[in-house]
Amino acid sequence: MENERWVDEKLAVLGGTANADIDAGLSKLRGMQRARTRRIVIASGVVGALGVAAALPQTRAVAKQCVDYCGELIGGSASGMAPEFVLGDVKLSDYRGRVVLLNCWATWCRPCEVEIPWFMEFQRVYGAKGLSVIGVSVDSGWDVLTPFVERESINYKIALANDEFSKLYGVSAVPMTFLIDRAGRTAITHTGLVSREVYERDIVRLLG
Amino acid sequence: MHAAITTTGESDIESVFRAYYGRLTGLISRVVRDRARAEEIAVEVILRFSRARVAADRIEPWLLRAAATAAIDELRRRERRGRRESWFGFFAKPPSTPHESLAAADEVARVRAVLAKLPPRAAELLLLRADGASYEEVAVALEMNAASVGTTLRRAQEQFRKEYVARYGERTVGG
Repeated sequence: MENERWVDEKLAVLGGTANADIDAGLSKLRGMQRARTRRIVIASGVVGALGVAAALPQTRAVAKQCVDYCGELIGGSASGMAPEFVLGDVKLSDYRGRVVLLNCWATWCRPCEVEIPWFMEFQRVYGAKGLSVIGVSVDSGWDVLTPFVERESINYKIALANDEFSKLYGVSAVPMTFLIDRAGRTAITHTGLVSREVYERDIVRLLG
Repeated sequence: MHAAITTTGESDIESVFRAYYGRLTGLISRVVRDRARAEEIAVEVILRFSRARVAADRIEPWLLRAAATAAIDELRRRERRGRRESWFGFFAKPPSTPHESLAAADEVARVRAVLAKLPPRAAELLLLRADGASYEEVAVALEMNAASVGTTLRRAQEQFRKEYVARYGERTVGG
């Protein structure tokens, strides 16, 4: 009780501001939404133009180069294929024909910790039906990762991310999860904690 | 309270924004002392919410958790940056503020430094409680069993005190 009061007193100095300007905030939100829409429109325009260029024999080679370059930039490819990667003994193309739940996570990430038991259960329940869960950790090294994996008895494949992988998949935050269909296409991308039901529904749908 | 919000269309986002922006900004600004940055983070949290699929009865805990996580992340980033900058701060002049305000600011800085050092979940729990979240709200936001909130909170408080005392000794507020 004394400890609780002591800590409460300390935390009380943090205060907190009231009366946030809602209208200013709303206008900021709309600005950010507009910027995102603009990016999508521009990207769609570029994809359309590249589609036209790819249809013409004279410009096909240039279009292909642009598509490859854009694919590298946005961490995917215009065809929707999940970028190939090799991390240790994990090679994505080895999983072709299976549905892959590719989860980017870290040992220090609390929302990731919430998801791990779900993924273990998905691996156990849907593994025989064609699901493979791969956890790619963005931790600093195996010295941090191994004790965690052992302690949690993680039953799916774990790999350690490198800069190339993070760039390729645009991993700017964790958790970030990609559901890749049997053809190797990125079907669904989630950033942040998503409910177990949503994952399970998508997995069942992709498993067909 | 806001269980009527079932989708995240344009008008729903606005109602979520109007309902929660103030609270989220208040929560974030407890540890992010820059008000403009706190508002920006709150907007980012709501923008992230607009792209996530969140069940209607999970909106409030989702937002509280996301805001607490974002605030603690920002705090840890700033602490790391502060440490880096302090390596080059040999020639920096001490601030010339009155003693009391300096002492209060120091205490805020100490509390923030300790929070940044705690495991993120413990820091999020303390932040949510400091913001007035009930045990039930904390339990749902941090996806914990409601019965274990008290124990986890006590552990977080012990961690906080231990870390504080190890760094600064037993001080009273402002001391």
